[in-house]
Amino acid sequence: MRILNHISVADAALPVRLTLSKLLARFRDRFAEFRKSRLAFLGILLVICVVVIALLAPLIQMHDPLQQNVGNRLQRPSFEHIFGTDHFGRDVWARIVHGARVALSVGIIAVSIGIFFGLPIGAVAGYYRGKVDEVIMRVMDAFLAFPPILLALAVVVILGSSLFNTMIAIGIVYIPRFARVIRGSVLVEREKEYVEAAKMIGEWNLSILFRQILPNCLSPLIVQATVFIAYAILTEAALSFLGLGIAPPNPSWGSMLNEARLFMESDPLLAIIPGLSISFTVLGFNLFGDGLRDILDPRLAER
Amino acid sequence: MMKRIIYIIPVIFLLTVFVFAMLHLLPGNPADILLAGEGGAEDPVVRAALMKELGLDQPLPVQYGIWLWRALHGNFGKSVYSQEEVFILILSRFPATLMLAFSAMIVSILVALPAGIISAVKRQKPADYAAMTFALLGISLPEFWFGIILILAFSLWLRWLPSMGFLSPFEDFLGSLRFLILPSVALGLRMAGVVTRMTRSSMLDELGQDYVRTARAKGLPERTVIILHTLKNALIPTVTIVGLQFGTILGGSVVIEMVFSWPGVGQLLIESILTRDYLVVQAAVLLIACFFLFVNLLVDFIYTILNPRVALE
Repeated sequence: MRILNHISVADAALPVRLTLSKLLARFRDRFAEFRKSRLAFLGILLVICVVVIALLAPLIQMHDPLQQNVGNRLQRPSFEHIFGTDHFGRDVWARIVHGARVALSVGIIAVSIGIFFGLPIGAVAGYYRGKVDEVIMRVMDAFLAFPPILLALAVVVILGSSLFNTMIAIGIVYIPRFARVIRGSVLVEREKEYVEAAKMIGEWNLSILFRQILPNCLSPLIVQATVFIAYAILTEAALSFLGLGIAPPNPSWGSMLNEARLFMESDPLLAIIPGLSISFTVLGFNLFGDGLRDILDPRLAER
Repeated sequence: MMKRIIYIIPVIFLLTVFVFAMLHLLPGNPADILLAGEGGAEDPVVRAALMKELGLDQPLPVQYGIWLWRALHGNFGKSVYSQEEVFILILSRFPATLMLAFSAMIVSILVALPAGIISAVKRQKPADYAAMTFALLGISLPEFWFGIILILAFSLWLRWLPSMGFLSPFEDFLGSLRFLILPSVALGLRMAGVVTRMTRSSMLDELGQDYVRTARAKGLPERTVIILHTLKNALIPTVTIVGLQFGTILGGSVVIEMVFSWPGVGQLLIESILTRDYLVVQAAVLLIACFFLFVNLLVDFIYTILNPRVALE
């Protein structure tokens, strides 16, 4: 299977720390293969690029992203404003750079919410099966019945438009999706011998679930998480584009696109730049996810 | 299969509870919320009448029951904004959205299937890399941005196609296509990327199978091998993916309809949210979700026909 193939019954009794070090050892082995894939490397580079920009945003902004200067509106790129200014005279580069913060924070926190709630739900459903599984999965199906943007929309309508609510809304979209992924992995793992062995030793169910089974489910989870971060960034952009996500005047790549529509004919750059930013970021995470999939589960690797 | 259908019922029930709860989770009295929308009156008499009609003096489960009973009869109330019956309003917009969704799927499949197949057959060659790049861009680019770029290129610069508007195919078929192309291409982009990847992957799986080696050993020409044998099998998971992607298309159509001013359910939904016409929002959310559920069920059904080896749990 994946990295933790050979964790045997004997290991089942060892504390979690040692298991993690085995995980890291296997990871190091696979890292050599990872570097061979140029695309995956490009992915990591893009992601690191965006992360660094987001972290350093207040330092590299050069101008205040909220500072309006109507006399200076719709300027072409220049030394003063390297991406030009928008229809309120705000510096586009500063807004892009802060938009990176918004995009990344929404992506990471929404996925974290999804994992935080989805993991226990899916794990419990997959392990205990029976009625518990049925009920849980029906509820999850009800949430999965909504196309993702629609559910996020519905939640934002209820809670109101803000950065925090957008994170929650998208997080809620991911809870059932992570639950499904984990449940699938747990269903497979619970049939394996080390689980039977642990039961024979008399280990508690919950302990088996969280200390034995789940570490072996990490690989698909990590890959999914990366891909979901990418999709979360797209969803946040869509919500903001519709005027329902991050409320103006706070910068968000999606709302910048929306505002640019009015000036498309005269200043197409205003519409092109935020879109390119979104695309590069999402592309980076997708490539990174592909690369991770290659290392963590060679069977699924691109042939 | 029957089991699957029965499972849908509790899911729909939960859906209706969620949608019903939407109006009551909003801060404030539902009657006030509805009246606050554009076109609403501030007359206390009207407010009292509305409260009576919604049954707001009754306990919640009773309110839910009233709402559900009416919903089953197609009575979702009246739009505060336009005074039209909500159900009729949504139904009138559905065809436009369906038209857009299906043409997006068609465009997407027409591009993605050949791309995926060629990519698998000529793997590691330039055609493969090109197709994979295309697929990657397809899943990474935001569709609404791609739509804007298409408008920039084809409407503003080249002036070949209109940037917005709608014409019914029953009035003028060729004319309606002009309005349909750009939104369909924009909407179908993501699905094209996913289907390309999926097709390539399942084709590669099939091409590695023993029966393919047998066919080649028998001396069958390469093209026959591909078309007759592998394609049929490779298409099965692709069908499932296409069905699943329909949800993405439905969701994406909400945004694309806003970009191109396409008069579908998505545009109605967003406008209703912005004008706080919550009865419309409720009904639209519910109907879209139910529609998506039934499409999924249909896809499952088609999948079992295509692949009788699969036993449904």
